[in-house]
This record gives sequence, structure tokens and C-alpha cells, in this order.
Amino acid sequence: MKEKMNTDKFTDRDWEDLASTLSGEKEDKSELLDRFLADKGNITQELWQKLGKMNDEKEINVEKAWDKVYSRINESGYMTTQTPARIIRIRNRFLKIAAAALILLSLGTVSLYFATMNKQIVVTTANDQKNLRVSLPDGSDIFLNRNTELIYRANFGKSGRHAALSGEAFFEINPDPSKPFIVDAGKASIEVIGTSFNIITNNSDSAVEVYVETGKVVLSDNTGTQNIVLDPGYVGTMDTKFSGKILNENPNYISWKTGRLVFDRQRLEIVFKDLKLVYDMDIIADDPEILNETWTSSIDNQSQETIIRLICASFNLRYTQDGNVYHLVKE
Amino acid sequence: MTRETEIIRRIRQGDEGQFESLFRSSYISLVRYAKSLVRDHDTAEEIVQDFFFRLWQDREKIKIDSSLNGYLFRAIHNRCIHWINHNRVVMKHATEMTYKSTENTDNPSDIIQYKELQLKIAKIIEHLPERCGRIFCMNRFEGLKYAEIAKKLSVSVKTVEANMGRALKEFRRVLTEQ
Repeated sequence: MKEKMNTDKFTDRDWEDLASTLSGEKEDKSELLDRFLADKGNITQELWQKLGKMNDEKEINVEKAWDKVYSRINESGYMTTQTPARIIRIRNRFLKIAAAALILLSLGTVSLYFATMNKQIVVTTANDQKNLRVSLPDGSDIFLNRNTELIYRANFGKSGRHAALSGEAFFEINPDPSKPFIVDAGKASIEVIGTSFNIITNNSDSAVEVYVETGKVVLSDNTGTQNIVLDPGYVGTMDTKFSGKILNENPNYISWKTGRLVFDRQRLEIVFKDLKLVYDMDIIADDPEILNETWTSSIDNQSQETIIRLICASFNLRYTQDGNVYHLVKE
Repeated sequence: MTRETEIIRRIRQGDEGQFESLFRSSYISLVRYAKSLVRDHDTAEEIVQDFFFRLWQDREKIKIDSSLNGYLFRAIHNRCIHWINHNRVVMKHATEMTYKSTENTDNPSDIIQYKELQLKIAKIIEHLPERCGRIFCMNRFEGLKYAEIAKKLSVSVKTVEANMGRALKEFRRVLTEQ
């Protein structure tokens, strides 16, 4: 090929040096550059350098651009209502509202008002989907764990900040003293001004558990008779019969979101459970002795392969893999 | 599974976070490239924003034959050409601008040739492997130094050098091919 002949005149090393020179990273290797320019390289040089100079022109504000695209998507309703991975369902407690909507539908104009002002946005994660980020119009972010459902209104933030949760989610709430952020979590409601915290509420019958990372959180039962104020580091529990708070001692409490796990002489049985929750790995050890070994290590968003190798290296094990399932055997 | 197919899979499934990070990591490069074609800053931003809006709407239909980066550049390229074809008046302006920027080459045929070459950039990027294309864009479009790129991508400066060399080689090859 003709162009192959051109490029063959230079070694890979030459190309590296030429790129460094043309990009202003390194001192001119003039002999090489001359040779390059002599071989119809001047146009290449000019275009290459011109692209680099475009940075000096008008600055590009990515933040602003994203806001524009995001609000356009939200306005068209595509961001949260038409994705295949998320099933749109109306929970029981909203069935009444839905029924009301149907009645209103026959009344014409009223229904239009209802549809635009009170539209429920339901975001649901599947069993294999975690860490789904939902960005709310007020700048708050909510990260959903598996099998979780979050509901908020299309006009979120206009009159107040309300959301309903079933499952587990981590909240990063933008401060707004005039509009407290309130989460309806079945048996309890959680009220905050601006803070980050994690809520677990698996179904309407289970206790609600809240872990606070920053700021202050008020956890209340539905009658408003029991209130617990939680400071950072605390886990509060609210159930019909009991409520209370303890200082969290589990370093891996929100690992499902961060991908960071810390083990300090932890039994492998527990380690494997955590890895299942955070990394979706099923680790099976046929020899029960393996499960009683203890491990000290930290994992930060590593691949499954790296993790399993780390474990094998620590305990002289071998593994066989079948999808997400890892079998451990002694060497 | 490579990282880019994983990114596309997630976006197809409606992962907003992944979509947002793709937007954030490629926006500047794409706007600069679009601007080099349409010669107007606001138009360039509009074209890229509109592209991302449509990309999300039609995400289930995304089909990528080249690298992800190459796909983005090709899409922006096509949109710019479409825009130019509908805005002939602006084209005149574009030619003038190109002339200005190539003052040192007095030959008019060089100028025309130069414009054609500019249109080949999407093709070059399509031909580069994903990481190589990213590194090229970060350096040429975002103006990051090798050391900054190395830090951002957690690779060595040596890797950046090698990839930039490879990009230049491809750059030269596409620009000289007939």
C-alpha cells in the first residue's frame, strides 16, 4: 500500500518523539522533524497544532451544558419514565391517587392540571442493577441499591421536597433550609435539611434503618410520637414496637455504593457475603475450613478477577470460575 | 467485556449516571471538533447538546461499529456537515476563517486541500483504539499535558507518549491517503 510506505519511514519510537515535539511536550529533535516535514508532513503538523490551539478560544462550560441537556431530557420525560430496565409501577398507596385521576379524566381540564402537576415519577431498580443515580431537580442525588423503588413528583422542589422509598438508597441532599427534604419510608419518615445518609426499608412491614454520613437526620414514626435525632456515624432503627440508635461499627455499611470494602481480621464467610452484596460475586468454598480463615485487606472498586486472585494468593487457593460463581479449592 | 461495550450496555439500559459521565468526558472535545467545522462556538455547542439529547432518546437503537469515541466523532461530524449544507452563507465565512488560519500557506489550492483534510479528523479518530482516541482528544482538544492525562487515566506518561505517537501516525496516514 502506498501510505504504508510513508509511515514505514519512521519507527514507533520516531512517531512518539514526533508527537511529543508537535504537541510541545519535548524539545525539538530537529533532524527527525525535518525528515518528517520534508515528507509532506507540513500539513499534518499544521492541523495537529491548530487543534491544540483551539483551547485558547472561548471557554466551554460543561456544567452548564449538561444542565441544559438534562433539563431538556427531563422535560420530555425520557430520563425517568421510559427505560426498559426500570419498570413503572404504581404502588398501593398511590392506587387511590390513580383512581382519583381516572375519575378526574372524565372532567377534562381538571385532569390536565392533575397530570402535569402531580405526575408520579417512579424509578425502580432490578435485582442485577445497583448504584443507579437519580438526580433530582434541586441538585440532590439519590443512589439506589438493587430492588429498590423511589417515587417523587414531577414538580419536585416546587412546593416541598418529598420522596417515597422502598428498598435501600443513599441520599446526598442539597441544603435548603426553607424546604426540608422528607422521605416516606413506610413505617417511618426521615426529615433532613441538607446531608447524606442511607435508608433501608425493605417492605411496609419491616423496620426502617437509617445510617447518617454527614449532617443531622430526624427519624420519626408515622404518628409523630417517636422521634430520634441522628448524628453522623449513627444508625437509627424505627419499628412499631421499638426504636433506637447505635454507633455504626461496620466499616462496610455503604460499600454497595462506594465499592470500597475494608476487612480487619474478618472471617472469610463474612467477607464472601460482603463481596456478594457489593461485587455480585458468588464465592463457594467446599472445604468449610476455608470459611473460618480470617482476612485483612481492603478493596476499592477492583475487578472480580483481581479480588479472587487476592484471596487465592493469601490462602494458597486455586479457583475455577463459572460466570459470577467462583469455586475455591486448596492447592 | 471491554469497558466501552459495558458503557454502551448500561446506557441502553437507561443508566443516567453512565450517560452523564460519557457526556462530561467527551463534551469539550466534541464541541471543539464541531467548532472547527462549523466555525461558530454557539452552534457547535448546540449541535453537540442536541446530539446527546437524541442519543438518550434513541439509546436502545445505538449501534457501534468503531470505538465509542470514534462513534461520537462520526455522529458529530455528520451533524456538522448537515448543518453546513443548510447554511451555505456561513460556509463563506468558514472559508475566510480557514484562510486566515492558514496565512502561511499562500497557495489557494492548499487552502481547499486543508479544508478537506479537516473533514478527515472524525475518520482518524474512528480508526484509533478507544484509549488512544481518548488520549488524543484529551491532549489536542482539551489541551491537557501528557502528565495531566497520565494522572487522570491512571496510566504512565510513557503510555500517553506511545498512544500519542500512534495517533500521529494514523493522523499522517489518513491525511496523505487519496
